[in-house]
Amino acid sequence: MRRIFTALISAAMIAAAVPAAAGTRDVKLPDYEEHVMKNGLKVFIVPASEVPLVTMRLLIPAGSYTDKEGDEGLAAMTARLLLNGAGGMGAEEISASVEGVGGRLDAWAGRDYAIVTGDFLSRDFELGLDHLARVVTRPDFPAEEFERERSIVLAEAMSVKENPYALANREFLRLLLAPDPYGNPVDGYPASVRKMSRDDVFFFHKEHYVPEGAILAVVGDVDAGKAKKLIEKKLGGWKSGAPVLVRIVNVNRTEILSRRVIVIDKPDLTQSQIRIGNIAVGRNTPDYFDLKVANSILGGGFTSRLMDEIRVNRGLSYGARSGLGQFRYGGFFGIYTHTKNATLRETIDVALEQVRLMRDVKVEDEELAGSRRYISGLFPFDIETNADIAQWMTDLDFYSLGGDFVEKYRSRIGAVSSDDVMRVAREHFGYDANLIVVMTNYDETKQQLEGLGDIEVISMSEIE
Amino acid sequence: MRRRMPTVALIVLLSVLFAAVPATAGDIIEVAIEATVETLDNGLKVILVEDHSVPVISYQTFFRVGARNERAGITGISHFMEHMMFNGADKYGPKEFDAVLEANGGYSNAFTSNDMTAYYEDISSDGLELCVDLDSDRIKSLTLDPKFIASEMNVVKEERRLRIDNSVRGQMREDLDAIAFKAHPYKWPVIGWMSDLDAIDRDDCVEYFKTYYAPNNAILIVAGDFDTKKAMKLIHQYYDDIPAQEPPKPVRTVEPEQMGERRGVVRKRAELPAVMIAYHTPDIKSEDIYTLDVLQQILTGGKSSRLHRRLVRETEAAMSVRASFPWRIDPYLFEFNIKMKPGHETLEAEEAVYAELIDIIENGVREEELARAKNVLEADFVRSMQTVNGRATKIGRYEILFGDYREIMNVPGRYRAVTDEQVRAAAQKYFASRNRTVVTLVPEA
Repeated sequence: MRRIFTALISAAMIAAAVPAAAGTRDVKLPDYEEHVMKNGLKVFIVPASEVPLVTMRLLIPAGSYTDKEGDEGLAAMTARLLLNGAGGMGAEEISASVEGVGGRLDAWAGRDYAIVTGDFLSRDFELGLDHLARVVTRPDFPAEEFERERSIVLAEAMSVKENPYALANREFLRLLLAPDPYGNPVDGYPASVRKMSRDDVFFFHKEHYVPEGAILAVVGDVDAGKAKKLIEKKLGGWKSGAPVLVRIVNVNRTEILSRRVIVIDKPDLTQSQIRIGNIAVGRNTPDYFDLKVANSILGGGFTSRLMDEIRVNRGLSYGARSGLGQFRYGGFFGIYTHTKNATLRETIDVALEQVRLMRDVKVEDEELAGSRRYISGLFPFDIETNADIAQWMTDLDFYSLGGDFVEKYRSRIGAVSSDDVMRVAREHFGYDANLIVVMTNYDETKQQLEGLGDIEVISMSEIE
Repeated sequence: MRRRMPTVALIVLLSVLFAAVPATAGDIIEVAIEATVETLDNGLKVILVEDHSVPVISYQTFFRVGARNERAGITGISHFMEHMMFNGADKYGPKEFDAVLEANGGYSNAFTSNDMTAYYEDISSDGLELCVDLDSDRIKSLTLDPKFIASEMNVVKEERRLRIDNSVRGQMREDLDAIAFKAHPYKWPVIGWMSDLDAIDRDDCVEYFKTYYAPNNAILIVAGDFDTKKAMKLIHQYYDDIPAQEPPKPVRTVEPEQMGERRGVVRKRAELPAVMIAYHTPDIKSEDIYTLDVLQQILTGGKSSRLHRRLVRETEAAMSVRASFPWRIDPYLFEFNIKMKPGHETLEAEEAVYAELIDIIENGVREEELARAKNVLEADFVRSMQTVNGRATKIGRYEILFGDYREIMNVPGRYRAVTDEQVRAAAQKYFASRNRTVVTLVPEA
């Protein structure tokens, strides 16, 4: 796989190119029906009949963010166990029944929410919905399934330590945000997973898996009226409970006031992993579109500045990008790249210089316009499949983004100015004050890193 | 406009013969692709699939070249050429391919495998002519500037460090291929050996480009929202003057039959033991490929699959077990990839795999196992063609692998036709110990 690339291209060049007026047409979500059931479950039905498939997506506000201190990983464990026995059916029985009709059923937790998805041939809609309702409302959490899953989670945590890219991502987020719950690994820490009990899972499910606050989207080849009745039949009996009060105050999410450099010393590496970041803002921010454009200029696509300077001009890395992680109650900004140990400092310096330029120099009209067209042009590809639409339906509602978010997306991107870009870069990207996490063979790179900032070294044995 | 699911061109017919009875495979899935196909005088095969459901197009070019066409000394050059295709031609110079495309709301990427090199651009419908212009330019007149060759090679070396040298899994994968094959070019990694990356020069690139990036060695696929007549006219306009070249020489080496088990050990800093087990399989023309897909499902697809049950659920020796059977032009491998839990030996995994394979060879598979596997394969096949990009990619892959994209339409039927006796016979034929290669990971502190 090649890639990741760019450039500041001349106006003459763009004019010479065959014109393609990207993103001039409206993009809209298909027509949908929306209702709230008596028990509080919110339902979206989106008929789209060209492929005989139906996708179901149920969102429950029970992500790792709800894990209390010491219980990290409980939300994820609960979601992982849903399919492993429910309503008297065993894990293998559920799996065999779903696969018996070529269906897919899955459950997992992220940071903000837990998701259960089903994807079935439309003639198996009822069977699929039946399984989805069973695993969500009547999971058995069999003792042996709990113990087995616990040991798998612990083994997976060890396995991440074999993958420098994934480990650097996990540790970067933890060092940037923890003890804020968003900084914890979704699957928790070995210590919290070891002390977890099956009762904890039962209790978590009872408390969090309630129809109030949950959102169901059904997208595909279904009749809206019939689907509504079927959903009522399968999920109408789901007991309503008082929605859980999620902690939204995070005393620990303090602003970063100076530069912190943390080195994770992994002596077997010939290539260093680099992460640079800062605390940013949540998903439902008025700065959303400004950040989208600013990030795209700095580190999105193949023509971003980071890609151009680090990869194209200097051949320092296979990839260099930046991105925003945006949750319900907060978010972060990060730069992600890697390079051979000998060019570690050079790569960090180039990346930091690009952040500085975003803050100090106003972006030219041409680069800004290109970035806006890039984002707008690709937007239709985000709304292509049943699963894409189901995700939009649940996310728009969960994050309160407004019913016209999709429709107005392109015009809002088009309205972002160079002042907006500079403002959000200053507020959220961080330059003098940020966190730099480097995973490297420190013996080899120690001298290079001198003068970068206050350096704290962590050995691999200190990482759980 | 109101957005609809994309399927004017892809018609999926589903007739329900029975009510929802699991594991009876009573439904019939049919896939139909309505395409316009034309081969230009210079040999470029053009496949157009018009579909107005979403206002986008996917513009893809597949070349019949991959690591399988390389030789010792230039391993990795196919993948390297993939990178160089983004580094400038006559009309669109260095950096301009992506700059122009992205500034017009498009996205491009590419991939190289052992058998093929493919490029795609995804863009809104009004970007068709831009794609025709950009892609014909680089095929016509790729620059191969020495300065960019040198810089891009550093990028590829970083890619190798990322994917192989600093990856436990990547290292095992590289060793598995190197041990399982002693003659056929499938033995070297697509990204190439580091020493070859150090040595590949501009002359190598020029020769490789001339031979393998000729129009007569390529297939152009456009899927999505465009007008077929207008598109074909544009393609003629931009591509007709690109000259055909001597067809590349066919790959001649045939891997000799394996005469006994081969084993390798990777000692590397790691947390958990792991093992990969591989068996040589037939080439793409064999009907057994569908049967082997069914076996892959029966063995490791889902919680009720045989090896998941045995290794993850019953003995709990493994944290994960996966089988894969990547389709390749020439005979390749059916492989198992198993990660152990702490305190367990890879021998436990090997014994479990061999025991299940022997059971299938001796007793065959159960009716419901077979039906389940076939239903999953058929439904996943339809799922893989939900997007415009997915459909174009499938057409390109099938052109390279089978020489004819129309094989796509036969796939659901081929899965349905697999019998329990074919499954047993395939297991017996391929899963023999003398045909086996094993690579184990011994973690070092």
